[in-house]
Amino acid sequence: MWPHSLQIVVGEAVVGVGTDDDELVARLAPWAALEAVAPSRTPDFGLELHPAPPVHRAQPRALPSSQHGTLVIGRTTDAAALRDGLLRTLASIGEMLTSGLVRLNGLPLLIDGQVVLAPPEVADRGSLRRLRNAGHVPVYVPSVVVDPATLLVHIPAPLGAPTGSIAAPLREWWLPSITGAENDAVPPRTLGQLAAHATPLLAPPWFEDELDGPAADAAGTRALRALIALIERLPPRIGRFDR
Amino acid sequence: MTAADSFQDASTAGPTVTAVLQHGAVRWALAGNEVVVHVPALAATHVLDPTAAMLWQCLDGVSPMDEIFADMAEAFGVAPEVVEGDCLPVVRSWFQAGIAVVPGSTVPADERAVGGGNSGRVWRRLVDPPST
Repeated sequence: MWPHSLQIVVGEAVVGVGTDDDELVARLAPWAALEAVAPSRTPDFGLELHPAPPVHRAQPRALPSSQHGTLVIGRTTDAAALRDGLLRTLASIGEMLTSGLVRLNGLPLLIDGQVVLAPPEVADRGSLRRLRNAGHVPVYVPSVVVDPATLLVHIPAPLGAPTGSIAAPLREWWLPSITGAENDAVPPRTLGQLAAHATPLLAPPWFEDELDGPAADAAGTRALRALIALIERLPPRIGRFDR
Repeated sequence: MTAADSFQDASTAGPTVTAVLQHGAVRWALAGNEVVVHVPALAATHVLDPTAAMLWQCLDGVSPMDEIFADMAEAFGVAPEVVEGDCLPVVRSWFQAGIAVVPGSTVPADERAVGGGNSGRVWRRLVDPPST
């Protein structure tokens, strides 16, 4: 159970947010739904800045985290970064994806004005200290929009902020090894095989009515084409992401 | 009855007289001389080699398979029976994978909106978060 369970209106959707953060509650107040919609529904997003202490002294302390369902979006002691990322994620709900663009799952890392798109599971690592020491700044969002034609990555400003959107060139993006093993990785031989390996990075649509039907199929096909275009323009790196 | 069975039974004259359609829920795109077929609902992706890619793009739901095979045979300079022998198993595998259907067999999508409280406004509903 969350200390605070909010329902906010973002565009055409009512979004559930659970949190123990009073500041987030205050930041989301302008978007609070006037009436409860499906109040028993599990919150879509969560921000936990004060996880329960370990039962035993020898157990590690849980880090603060932001989540989409049970998917960890970010895990860090930097509460401001988690709050920033969640607000950017909420701002991206319902963003129109114009033809030619593709939304990819992953953790964006800013460095030298560019973006390294790390695999999604990197967000759940306990420590990104080595990355930060190397100058990478994580933005704790679950996905980003990429323009294959310009290789620009777009991350919206936090919900309610007039400025602060990010538009930076994609430096590199990562896919896991085909076999999942380090020593016997088999690189994809063709563009089609590489595209098939990359499709798990395609972010699902935000809304249920975008899951099927002619409009959904057309949008999904456009996203697949954009993914293939991105692979041709900037082939992904394949292997274990490790800085 | 599986989709592959329905392909078999669709025509008493044999499966090659049947027209076949790409399943409406799949997304596909050209990748070089291959075709990538992505099925989000199944989290599955298929890569079709150049010959299968050509066959896939001929599935219009109208042209009977034997006509498609005859056209391909002419393009490749081989007998239609050869094309049918090579391609019919591929088409059956597409039915088994759920990416091909007999026209008229798909089910329309249901409504995806949720009514909101007393205001009567209909809100768009978010896809359930992971693991819910």
